[in-house]
Amino acid sequence: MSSAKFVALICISALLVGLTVWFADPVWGVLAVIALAGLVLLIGLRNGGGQVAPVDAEAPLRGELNGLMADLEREEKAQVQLGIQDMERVKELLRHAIDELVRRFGDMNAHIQSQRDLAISIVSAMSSHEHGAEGVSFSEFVLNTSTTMEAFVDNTVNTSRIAMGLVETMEAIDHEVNAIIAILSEIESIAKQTNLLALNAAIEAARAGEAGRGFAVVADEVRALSQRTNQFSQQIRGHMDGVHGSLVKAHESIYSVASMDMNFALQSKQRVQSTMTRIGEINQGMSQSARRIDESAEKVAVEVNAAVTALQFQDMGNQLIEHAQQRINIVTQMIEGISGRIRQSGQLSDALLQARSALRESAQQAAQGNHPVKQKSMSSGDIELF
Amino acid sequence: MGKVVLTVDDSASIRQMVAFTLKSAGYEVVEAVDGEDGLSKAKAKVADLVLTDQNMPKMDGLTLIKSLRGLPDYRNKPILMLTTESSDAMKASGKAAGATGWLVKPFDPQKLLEVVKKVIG
Repeated sequence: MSSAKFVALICISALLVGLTVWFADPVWGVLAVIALAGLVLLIGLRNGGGQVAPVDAEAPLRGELNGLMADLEREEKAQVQLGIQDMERVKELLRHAIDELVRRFGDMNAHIQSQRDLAISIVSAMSSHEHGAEGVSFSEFVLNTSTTMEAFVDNTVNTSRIAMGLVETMEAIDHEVNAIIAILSEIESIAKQTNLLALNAAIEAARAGEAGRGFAVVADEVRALSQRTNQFSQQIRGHMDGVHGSLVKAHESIYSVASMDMNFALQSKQRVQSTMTRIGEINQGMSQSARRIDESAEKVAVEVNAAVTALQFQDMGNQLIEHAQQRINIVTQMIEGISGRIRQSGQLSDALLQARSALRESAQQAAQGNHPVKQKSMSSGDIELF
Repeated sequence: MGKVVLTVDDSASIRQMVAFTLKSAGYEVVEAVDGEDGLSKAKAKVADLVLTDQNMPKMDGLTLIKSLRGLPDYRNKPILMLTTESSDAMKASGKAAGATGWLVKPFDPQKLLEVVKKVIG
């Protein structure tokens, strides 16, 4: 009979007794009270009987509890196994990914190093002052070219200036030649007059007759001399005309050299200078760019280092996952221990006591485990030299 | 020929990081996957420096250090611990086992290089 029916029965009985005591004769009232007392005794006997026969009541509960424990163990084991498998997969995935990343960063580091070496070699090739096997540096080459070009232009300008001087000298010589030619005309006119004088002297000598015969000889000789003088003068004039002609030709040539446009040479000099300045600037610019490449490569190297530091999370994560796996295994052991103790113990109360002590022991064991990773961030760790 | 560094760690990525950091500075790097492997590689080729992790399968770092200190070749060689362990108690036992220094992970490649240069040049 269920307890609800019992309560209902007692309530109805109590109501009947109450009504009987209230309305009926005292005799009926006494009988009703006795009946009620009997009912209470019956209930008391029923409840007391439950304590007297405990084995019959606990047996199904034990069965239920053992079944529950077996189910719990089985289910927990299955779930833990799946969980640990997932963790193993996470570890494996991380291992593959991080190995690959580390390899890539390692390659990157090597490339950056060679990039830096190249940039440094460009800078040193452009600004080096040492005379190695390659000879001069680029800036020295620019300087040499500039100096050579300047010397060349200076020489050209100098040549022009000297030619100008030569032209003036030539003109002076020609002037002298013309003066000589003028003097020659004078000599020719003197010779002509001498000739006439000699002719007159010869006439006068003829007129004097025998007495003038000696004089006539002298007059003829003077006439011959004047004719030779005239001949020489003619020869000199011919030569002088030749000299004059040559001088005119030479004057023309040198004048054409001297009057050549020196602006071209001066402009060339300026162009060469500005070109060399520009080349120098480009050179400096390239040198600066190479230096900047080196600087940025250095920064990349620093970033790679930081990335490599951060990538070590895999090692720590791995250890933490392994530690978590250990903890999960401890939970399995706890459940196995509790379940075992419960199934081995006889009385339910004893079983509960055993279960609690098993849990306590496992907890103490678990507390002794060392935690390998205490880091909370990925900033690089302490270094201590003993 | 660069000096030889033996790196002992069960994590392949850490070994790789140590290797490329030190190789870029001209060191020769030998890798070992745990304490036992480290001990046999240390015997096969005498390293100028040993860099070891603590928590590894088969043989841990402290045991490796003790074993190496028992060998004549490694009595005076620098041995550095590179581990996630950072407790003072662990450091003290490392010092007692004969470790030259203690580096807590994660390591900064530049700082690792500085320490290695300081210890073996």
